Amino acid sequence: MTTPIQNECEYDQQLRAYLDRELSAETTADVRAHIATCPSCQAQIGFMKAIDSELAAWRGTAEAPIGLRQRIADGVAETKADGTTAVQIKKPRTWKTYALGGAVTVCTILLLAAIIFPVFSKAREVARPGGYDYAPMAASSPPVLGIHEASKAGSSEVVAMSGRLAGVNGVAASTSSTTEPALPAADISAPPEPGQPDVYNAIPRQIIYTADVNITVPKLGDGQSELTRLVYRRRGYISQSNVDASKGDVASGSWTVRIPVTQFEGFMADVAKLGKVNSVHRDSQDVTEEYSDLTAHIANKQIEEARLKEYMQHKSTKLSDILELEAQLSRVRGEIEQMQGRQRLLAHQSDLSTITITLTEAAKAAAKPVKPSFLYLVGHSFSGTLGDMGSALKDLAIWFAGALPYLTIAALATALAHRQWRKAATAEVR
Amino acid sequence: MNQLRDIQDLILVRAAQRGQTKAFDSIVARYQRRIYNLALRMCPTEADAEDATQEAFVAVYRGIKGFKGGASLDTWIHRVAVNACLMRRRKAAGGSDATVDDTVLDERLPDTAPDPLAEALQTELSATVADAVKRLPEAQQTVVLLHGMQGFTYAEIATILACPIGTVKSRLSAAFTCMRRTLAEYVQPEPSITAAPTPATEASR
Repeated sequence: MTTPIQNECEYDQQLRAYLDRELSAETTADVRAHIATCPSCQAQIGFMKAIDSELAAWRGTAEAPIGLRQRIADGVAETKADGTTAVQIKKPRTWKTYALGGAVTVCTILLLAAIIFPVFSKAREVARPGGYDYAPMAASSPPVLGIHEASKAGSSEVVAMSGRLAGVNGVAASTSSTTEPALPAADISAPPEPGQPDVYNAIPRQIIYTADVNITVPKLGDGQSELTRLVYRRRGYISQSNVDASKGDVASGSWTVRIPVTQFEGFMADVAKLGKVNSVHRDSQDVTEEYSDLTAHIANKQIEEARLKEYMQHKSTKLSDILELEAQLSRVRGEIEQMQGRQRLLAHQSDLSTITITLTEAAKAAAKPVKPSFLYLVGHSFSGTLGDMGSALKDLAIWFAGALPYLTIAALATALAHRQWRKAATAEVR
Repeated sequence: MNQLRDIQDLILVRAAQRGQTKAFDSIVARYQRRIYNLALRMCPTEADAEDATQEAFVAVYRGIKGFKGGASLDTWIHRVAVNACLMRRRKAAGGSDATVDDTVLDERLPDTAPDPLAEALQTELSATVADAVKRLPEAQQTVVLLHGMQGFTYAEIATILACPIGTVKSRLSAAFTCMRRTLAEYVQPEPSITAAPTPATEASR
């Protein structure tokens, strides 16, 4: 038998598609029936299968050249460079750029020197009046007012700053100016913010306030009932209490109370009136950043979750893929829940401040003054310095925000002067 | 079939679109071997193949922002690569084929059968097939390589070449008729060996 090289069979055109199963069921059946009776088509099918296996063997035979990946990376880098060279050509200056930069820097330093001193000292004053002493909180208000007045008389820069202060603490500022005669009553309904008068409060902040107060009272029982009354008046609650009247000869008790943040300052002032304040320690932790980070993370993860769900619904048919996606999905879900839990905790903690009050009966307490331990002193000193550094940085940030418009003007002026000078220089050359 | 791969590709593409160089690098790592091997068959010399592969991936980088994800990344990269190869080929029209064939075949030697005679026959057959593919008209050759070597379906090839499926079908059929004429002496004269194929045993790809 000889091979029919010139295959003129009418089914010839269909054989390739038949082998690839790209024909309709009807045609497939037809072609199959034909092949069974046609040696020429059988030969052609055999030929195609041989070629197919040969071609399939070509797949991935050669390793990619070792330098290829680097060449591609270089090509890509060139593409990127092409985009930027056009921009770079526009500014071939070298030392002139430095001259401009230098001029701006000098201007900035001059401005800084001119403004920094008064503003800085004022900001310090603003930061101070809270101090560690709560009873005279009302007395500390006049200095704040004083600053407002002084600033109006001062440089325009300072006026702008105080304007911002007044804007932010609008309620507090107006209250204190109208109720000035009634100031001795510490019970101001909208007291200044805890710690420093917080200029940043324009942004909704998440701050966890904690305080520790040690007070000597004439009689523990009276102090206790008065304290309870105060807590409820401030819409707070006692989360833990511990009264120890039997041990030794000094009766004392400690209470951990949760007070709404808005009532924190008023409550502290009230508590201070219970008796002689031995020590006050207060602390705040700003978790705004963590809180907003968490919010962003959660949003991201939720998008990822939605996308995975979409894949599950639309694209997956294979069981192994679905299992893989399922695992991913439960991981993402777990992460979201964990972060939401943390977020809730932060929100709860920053809604309510935590205050621990220790009341000691006066009678024999005098004999036992609270002597801070060495470790306490070291820790206190350390955290005090840290706090100072933090507030100095904040002051600087406030100042910079205020000075920014001036700096912009100064930079523009310098740039203009520089251009003029360059024009003059080129004219001279000609 | 390759849905997990497609999802991974999609993630890489999205990252690359956001300008992450590492993601693009991963795409290169995933596809360079596949593309380079295709280029070796489509371009006259090894150097041309390497150049074409490089050009293809740089073009992929440039165009990745516009890649919508309607087709799979594999298909899209092949579209770019096929164009790059054809450009190379037209530029260097009329190169010598022999050198390429030899080197490509050398690299395939390790996985051949131990029988020297069979080996020789197989090598000879491979070289002849390679030669026959090389001699095909450009359009047919491209379809044959995408189909037999890269394993694409007719629909995918139609997407890559931007032509109707019917064209793919007819080009492929014509290519095999053409090759059979070239390789007439290699066709087994006994049809009984390959007779009566049933679809179940035809899983050659």
